[in-house]
Amino acid sequence: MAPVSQAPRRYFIEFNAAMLLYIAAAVGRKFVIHYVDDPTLKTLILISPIVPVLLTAWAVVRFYKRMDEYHRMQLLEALAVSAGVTAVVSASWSFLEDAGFPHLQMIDALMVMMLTWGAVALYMGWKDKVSEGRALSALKSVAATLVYVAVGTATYALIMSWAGLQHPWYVLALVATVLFIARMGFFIFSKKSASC
Amino acid sequence: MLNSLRDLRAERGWSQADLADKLNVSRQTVNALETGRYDPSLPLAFAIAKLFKLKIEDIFQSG
Repeated sequence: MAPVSQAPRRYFIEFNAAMLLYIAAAVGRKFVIHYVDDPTLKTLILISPIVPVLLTAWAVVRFYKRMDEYHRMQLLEALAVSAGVTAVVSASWSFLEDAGFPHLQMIDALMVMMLTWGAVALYMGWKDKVSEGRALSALKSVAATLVYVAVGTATYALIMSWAGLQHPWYVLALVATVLFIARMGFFIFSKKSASC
Repeated sequence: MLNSLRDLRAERGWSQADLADKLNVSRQTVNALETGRYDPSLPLAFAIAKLFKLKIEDIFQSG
């Protein structure tokens, strides 16, 4: 049995590989589709991001199997809360739409679920830190990460401006995301934090 | 559920990370067990008892 301490590292690699593939498929299909005439191939290209989505789900399942029982319980609790919140929000929203609120798509339900899942997982992690008496160091670490991402992104924007190149918001968001992932990678792969 | 995990660990001079390695769980899990925020499954309780060469009821008591 692989040590539990290896679980976050493997998950980090598998999840981010799937995400890279997802971005490549989601963005790349819009360019490739113009050069394809065959309707079947067109359909396959259009739905190609489903493959990395399935790979992401597979990465989560593998992570779940490598976790210890305490973290499995935390993950399932977070998932249960997010499913409940999503059910309440989606059921309520259908009535709000009748009252003139904007129509939402299925993907928006996924966003609600992911955000709630993340928020609950963060809250549980925070409770662990408080219990261990490491709340202050955790806050410092979060603050350092925010500064690192903000300064890195601002530096990129300044360099682009200085070079006279455009830097639309989604490129800045991508830069910030890459910096955040790099920071997480540093934490996960440093010996100190090699735990689930 | 109450337990004497922290004392048993301290007697042996182990850190939470040491105990976590020996049980193949995370350090957070050891902390959650020691602070009573989490009750272990039966297999984990047996693993803990085996590690300390004690009976489960010698380590865990209903609170």
